[in-house]
Amino acid sequence: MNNQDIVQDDEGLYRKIPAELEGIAYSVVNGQFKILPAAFMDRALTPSVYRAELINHNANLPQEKAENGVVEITAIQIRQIGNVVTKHEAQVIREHSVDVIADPIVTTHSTLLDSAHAIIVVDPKYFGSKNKQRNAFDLLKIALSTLANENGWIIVPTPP
Amino acid sequence: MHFGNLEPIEQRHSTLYSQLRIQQDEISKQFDVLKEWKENWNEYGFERPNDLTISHAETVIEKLVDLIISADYRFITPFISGDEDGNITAIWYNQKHQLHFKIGENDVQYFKVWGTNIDTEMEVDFLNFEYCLDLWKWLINE
Repeated sequence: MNNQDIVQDDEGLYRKIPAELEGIAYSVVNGQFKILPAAFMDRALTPSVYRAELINHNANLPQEKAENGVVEITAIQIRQIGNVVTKHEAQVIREHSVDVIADPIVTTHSTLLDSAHAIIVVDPKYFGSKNKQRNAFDLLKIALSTLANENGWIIVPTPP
Repeated sequence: MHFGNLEPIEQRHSTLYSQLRIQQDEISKQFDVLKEWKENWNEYGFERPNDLTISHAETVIEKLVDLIISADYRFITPFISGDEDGNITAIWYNQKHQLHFKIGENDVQYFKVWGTNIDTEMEVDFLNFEYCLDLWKWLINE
């Protein structure tokens, strides 16, 4: 295991906010660009981020298109979110700690950006019905969007 | 005591109602965006909220507006969005306080948020309309 395998607490992590997702991932009301929880939605419940340090803090790499936005959250902010919970009949039956782990995308044509890929996970993994998993994930998305709003935009999107 | 800057009640009400009309227009526009979503559109795989969910969400927001205005509190324009599963979300922000509604076909969940720590700064439950004014007073620091 080398240094790159572990995401350090002080590492900045970029998340792309696609410009075309205006009204979904972000909203503009009275000129104010607000990052919404849906900015962190992910079918696998493991939102992707990119480790700033491994791409020389070049936010244009995860941005992909000039009109997309980028936000940044540090690993320690994510780890301090607290525990996501799974409930059954209103009782907490499991607590899941929140973490961010390196998840480099390895292909024969891996890019610098691929090597910087990381995912936000919970431990133990979500379980139970789809609804139970979604409910637990909702709180995580709210926490992540709140952090992103507190930190502000690295690159503001240009709405279509 | 000096009352020189106070607006007459009628004038204050008229200002509030014209503000409210602007806010309602803004809400309608946000719902129009939702209605234009396509099923499973692009690479993100969102589920489009169905007509029943949209209609339920519009009713919930209207009911909330009525409740707040009747109680003479100021209304804040929500950010209306959706989630992966076709629910509609309405979010109100007031400094550190956030109120989220997750509206499905038949029910509404609320998330009361005052920080980023899930354990100590968030509360989630199903919405009972009798509790709405308390939630609103908390949101606007009344």
